[in-house]
Amino acid sequence: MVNFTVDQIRALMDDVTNVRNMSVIAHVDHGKSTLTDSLVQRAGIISAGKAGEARYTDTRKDEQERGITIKSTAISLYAEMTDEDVKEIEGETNGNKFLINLIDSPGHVDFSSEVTAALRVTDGALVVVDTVEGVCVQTETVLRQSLGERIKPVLIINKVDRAILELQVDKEELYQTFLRTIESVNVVISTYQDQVLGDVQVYPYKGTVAFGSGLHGWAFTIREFATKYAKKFGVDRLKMMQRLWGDNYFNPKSKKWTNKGTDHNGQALERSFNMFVLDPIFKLINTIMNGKTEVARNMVEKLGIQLKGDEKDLEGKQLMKVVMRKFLPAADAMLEMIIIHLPSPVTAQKYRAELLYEGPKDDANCIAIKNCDPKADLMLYVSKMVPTSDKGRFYAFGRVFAGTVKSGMKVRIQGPNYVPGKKEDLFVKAIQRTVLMMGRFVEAIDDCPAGNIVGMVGIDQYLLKSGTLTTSESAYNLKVMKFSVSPVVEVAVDVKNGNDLPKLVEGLKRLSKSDPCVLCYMSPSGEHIVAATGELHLEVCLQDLEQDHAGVPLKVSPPVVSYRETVSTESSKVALSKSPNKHNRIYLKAQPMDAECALAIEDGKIDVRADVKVRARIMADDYGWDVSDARKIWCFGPDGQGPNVVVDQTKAVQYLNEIKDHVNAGFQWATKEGPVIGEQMRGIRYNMLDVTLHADAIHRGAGQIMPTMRRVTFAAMLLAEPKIQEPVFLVEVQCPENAIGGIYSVLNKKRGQIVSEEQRPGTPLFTVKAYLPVNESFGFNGELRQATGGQAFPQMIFDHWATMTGDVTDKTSKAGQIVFDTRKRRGLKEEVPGYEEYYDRL
Amino acid sequence: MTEAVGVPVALSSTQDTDLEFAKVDETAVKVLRTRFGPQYSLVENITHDELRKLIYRYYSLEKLIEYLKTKTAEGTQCFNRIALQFPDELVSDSAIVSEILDESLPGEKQIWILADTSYSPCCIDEVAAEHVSADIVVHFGDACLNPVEKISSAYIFGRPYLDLDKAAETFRNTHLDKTAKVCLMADVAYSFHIPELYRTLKEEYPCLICADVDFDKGGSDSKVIDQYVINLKEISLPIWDVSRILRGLDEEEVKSSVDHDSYTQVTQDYGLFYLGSPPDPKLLLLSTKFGDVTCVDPVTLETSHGMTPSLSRRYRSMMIARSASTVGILVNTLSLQNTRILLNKVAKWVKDAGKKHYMFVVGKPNVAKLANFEAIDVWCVLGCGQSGIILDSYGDYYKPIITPYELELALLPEVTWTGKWVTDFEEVMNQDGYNSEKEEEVNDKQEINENEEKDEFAPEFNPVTGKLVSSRPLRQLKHLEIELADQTPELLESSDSSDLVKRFSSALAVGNTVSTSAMHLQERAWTGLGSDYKEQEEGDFSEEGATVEEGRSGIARDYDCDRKMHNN
Repeated sequence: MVNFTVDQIRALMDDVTNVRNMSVIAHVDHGKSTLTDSLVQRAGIISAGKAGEARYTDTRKDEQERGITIKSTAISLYAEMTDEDVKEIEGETNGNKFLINLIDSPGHVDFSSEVTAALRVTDGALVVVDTVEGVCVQTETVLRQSLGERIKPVLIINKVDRAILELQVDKEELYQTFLRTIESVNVVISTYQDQVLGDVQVYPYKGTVAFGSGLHGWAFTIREFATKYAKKFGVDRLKMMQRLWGDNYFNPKSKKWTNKGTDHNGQALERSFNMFVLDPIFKLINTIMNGKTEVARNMVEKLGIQLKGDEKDLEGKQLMKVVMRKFLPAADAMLEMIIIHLPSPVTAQKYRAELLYEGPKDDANCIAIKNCDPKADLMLYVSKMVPTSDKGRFYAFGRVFAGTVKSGMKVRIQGPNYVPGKKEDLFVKAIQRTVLMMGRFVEAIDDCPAGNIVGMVGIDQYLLKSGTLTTSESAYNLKVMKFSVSPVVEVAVDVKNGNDLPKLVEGLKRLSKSDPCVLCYMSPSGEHIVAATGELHLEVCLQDLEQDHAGVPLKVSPPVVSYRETVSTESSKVALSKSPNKHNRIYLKAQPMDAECALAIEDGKIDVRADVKVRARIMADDYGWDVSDARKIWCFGPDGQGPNVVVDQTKAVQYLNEIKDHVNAGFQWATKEGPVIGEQMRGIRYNMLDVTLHADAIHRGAGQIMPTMRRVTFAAMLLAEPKIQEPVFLVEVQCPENAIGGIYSVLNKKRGQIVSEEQRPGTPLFTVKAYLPVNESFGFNGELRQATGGQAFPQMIFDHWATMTGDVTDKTSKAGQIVFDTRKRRGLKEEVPGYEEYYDRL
Repeated sequence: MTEAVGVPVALSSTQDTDLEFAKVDETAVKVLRTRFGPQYSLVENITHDELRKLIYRYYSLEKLIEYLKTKTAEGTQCFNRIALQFPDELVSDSAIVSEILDESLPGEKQIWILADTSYSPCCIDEVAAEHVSADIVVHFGDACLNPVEKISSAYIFGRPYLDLDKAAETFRNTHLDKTAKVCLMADVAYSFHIPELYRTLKEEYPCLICADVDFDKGGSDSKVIDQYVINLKEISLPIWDVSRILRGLDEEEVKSSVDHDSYTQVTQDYGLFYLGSPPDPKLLLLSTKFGDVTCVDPVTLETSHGMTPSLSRRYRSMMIARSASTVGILVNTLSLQNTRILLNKVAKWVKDAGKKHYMFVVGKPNVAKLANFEAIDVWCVLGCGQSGIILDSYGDYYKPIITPYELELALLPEVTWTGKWVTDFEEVMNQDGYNSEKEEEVNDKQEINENEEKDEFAPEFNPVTGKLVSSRPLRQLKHLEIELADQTPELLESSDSSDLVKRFSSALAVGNTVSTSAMHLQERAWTGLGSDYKEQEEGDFSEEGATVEEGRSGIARDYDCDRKMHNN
């Protein structure tokens, strides 16, 4: 019994002010999918009884089996609000019918990229936090990401039932737990907050925090209770909301409100939140759970809850669920927060436009995005590919930011490397069909106006993972997503049977389409590599590849880590290389780049594609570069966007501009495969000090300059004490006190480095945070389980690249060993080449 | 900024020691002729006469002279104009050889020593010989014996010295297991030692086989001078493989082989004991045919397991070729038989696959020469399988280099990899894979033509980089023409715009075909003189014009400005 039709939804799409695009984000196992169920149930898609167990948005078989979400899933829901509620919405609205485009995202850190893709197309986020576990590492990561995209959060504290039933906390303790959780969420928010967004911290008394239990299907906001009590006390609801949170007390004798915890006799007063909000809940739950069914029946009647037929015969937990669900329906609380407090696309795109668009802010397309104009040229961002039932084909899933997308419409498909005016990464094709994504199903629609989320058929082959669709020839790209995780764990895959090779290659293509973050490439030694963010991600990818995308048996190598090459000091002398004809010379020095600056380039804070002057300004202001140096950056590498740069510091060199392209090409080549282990370089600044060029153009062509630039880059690097960088995970482990010893011993054995150890107030749980080299993380879970008797579960997320201190040529050091092993595996000469190999004497 | 940075540090005085010009070591390079054995290397200050004798014997000049005296049926001399071709390491003997020949041959003889044969020295250099319109090329040293198009040739391998006892000893040391299946093979020059070595070792090693030079491979126009005679009794069914004749194999084994064209399955079980140092392409070939390759330096008798160039790298290059849009066909030989036919075929394959090809002859290829052609995505080299193919083991070349066989695989619609290493031209052309499938594809295509039409420009997934690429520029031609027609009126209207960039599509089609090279040039940042000042012009005209300055003078190796700074 679905209580809405596609036509209804389509009609609502035009009322953009009544649309809410939101994602559900949280740490793993905090109950996103379960809470989502409540909303799905409200829409009539699944029955009330199943809500909380069905996990409707976990569409894949393995998601159901593993009990975790792997892919983000979108669903469109229809909701109606009372007129009174509608009044409270800031900004324009039209009527009391609303369309909610919801995306349920995975919580496991390995799948953070799915969250990024979900956040890009939404304007608001429902952050779910477990009452018991509190704010965890992934809560922080996803919050940071959403704020980075200028996405407004609201909070729901989940699993309150566990606190009440399992931990048996009292009301004040529960209040304190809530308070602490909200505080830690607000700390994260205020740290990463964007000025433009204004104050987006969450406050219960403003109605941006809900409390509840997804499993039992109930939740509430202060606002709901305030509405109930406002009439009783005869005060304004907003005022009541203020009073129901924080240090507000009600003296039942004097019938007065106070903000002191005691009355004039020194008698302790009960906190208003505990008294008016928690008390009824506690009473109801306790009475039912204690088997006092009769008493409970009375209470239920008093609260005006209607029990139907066989529901009346229920007892204990079952009864409690039904009663609570009717008393405080989770969907109501969440819908209220989502509709009242999350922005509509019209509101959100006003401040998100400049962040989304690569081009100038006063350009017509940017203005169209700002106004969320359905009549303008189309601007649509495809954030991910969703597999269809037709094997190997995908829906392009994305958000219309401006214009209207129609079935059969001819659009320009601009890949991530598209540059306006050029032909690279550009295709002009027709969209076959547009569809509405409804969890496991899709519904065809004719068109979709700005502000909505949509799926498209027929353009999947022109995009790998993401891209921009537009009808304007002058449109720049919508900004490419930057992920907080890096694919640092990789394996080599090969077919068991040589004849299956075509299927493997096709499978790799499908795999890289279906996942926003996975990398499928080929190592210099000719192996097919699948790189993922962590062991779980890798496992899921390989399983998909073997069973689904390729469908052939595979040989998989043990996982290895990808490294980076860097330098630790300035080149001890100026590196000089001569061109093959000896008539051109390049003088270069390498020096380490500031770690923050390298990171900023990778994160896109220093935008490689931005205007030189703008970029130079940012580099000078935020990263301590000399402005004139920053303006003279010739190129970034590898792939034209990596964290290595060539800075032109030459003076009055003839024909210099002529060789710029060749220097660039040589630099890309060099930084892609460094001299130490053939890995990418990272965080190196090359200063080009002087160049001598032959007077005849023919003698300073690409063939002379390109290989020379590569050689001199290698020489300069090898002269600057080359080092290798390894990826490091941030590990967060929650465990009881007695398991801490075990954690420490395992971490010590694995070169781990403890960052912090804290007890979660009010619980016996400790949170240990540590850095763990990715290389050591293989099998870490198992060992940890063994050492702690299965009490500790780690969460690992890529944190940073750490330079390994050891000398790369010294086989006895850890770094040297890695270099040696890698070189051997790749079939390189065993010894790291000396700088002399690339250095020429004048 | 401080002064230290302002002045290029490279040229400050502290660095003077590094700034000395590299010079050639002037001490005369002593010619090493270790291959002559102790008779040469033990004697100090060998006299010219003695050396002449040694060379006379080493190159079997007596027999050569006899051969060169051959007369035609009419009684005239067959060979009046004689070209001598030496590889680099034997050039030091060339003067003496030509001197001896000059003295010993009767009549009006003209003898040339061919220079500039440093690349692919194993093949007969027909072109150089044609410059002097030679009747015959006498090829000295290691040879591939690949037949050439038209000129007559004679091969002299030389008779290098080998310490047989020591060689046998080395063999015993490397093969402790007496039942090991091993094949003896050597560079052609050392091959005449093989029968004896084989005889010595066969008793101990019952599973030993040996490889014999296939003297007839060169075709009817060429002759190997001073052929040694194989005289092995127990030798059974010979098989032809890796341009050698393998002898000593068990008959059963040979017959049991499924594939009668290649005995790879049989030889795969055998280890290889190779006397000499094969060039990389040959080593790769051997390593695909034999299980385990041990190379022995015939002079020092040191073994090296050596890094065999890896086939999986070739696989990667093949994959790059799949998604390449421009293929450079690098012609590395002009004299081998079938070169022209194969060249035309390769060009056709590339064209049919919708890719663009350019043809190159660069003499001896090197990194710089090939890097000059930036637009090329992958090189396909046509050359002799022994040493005429570049194997880029360390990634020194800017773009990968593949063989025609690999290119053929790469152009198949489905990813295919056989792990074979085929360099022989004839064999490549006889590979049925491409042609037959191609025809099928054509048939299929007609049926699904309408569906295909839409997907014609769809990019492909490049498994090497993990990105999408469009690799069939020629298929865009139609597309371009339409676009061009569309744009023309626009262009006329907007002729007031000073921007020429919009003319893109017209520039991409040159002479009715797509020019990927032109596409590449348009990607460049530097577009010609004055383009560096464009920014200034656009912004501010008030910028002062350039003042004329005195430029640089001196020779390229040693400009004045360098010298000045050097002296500071």
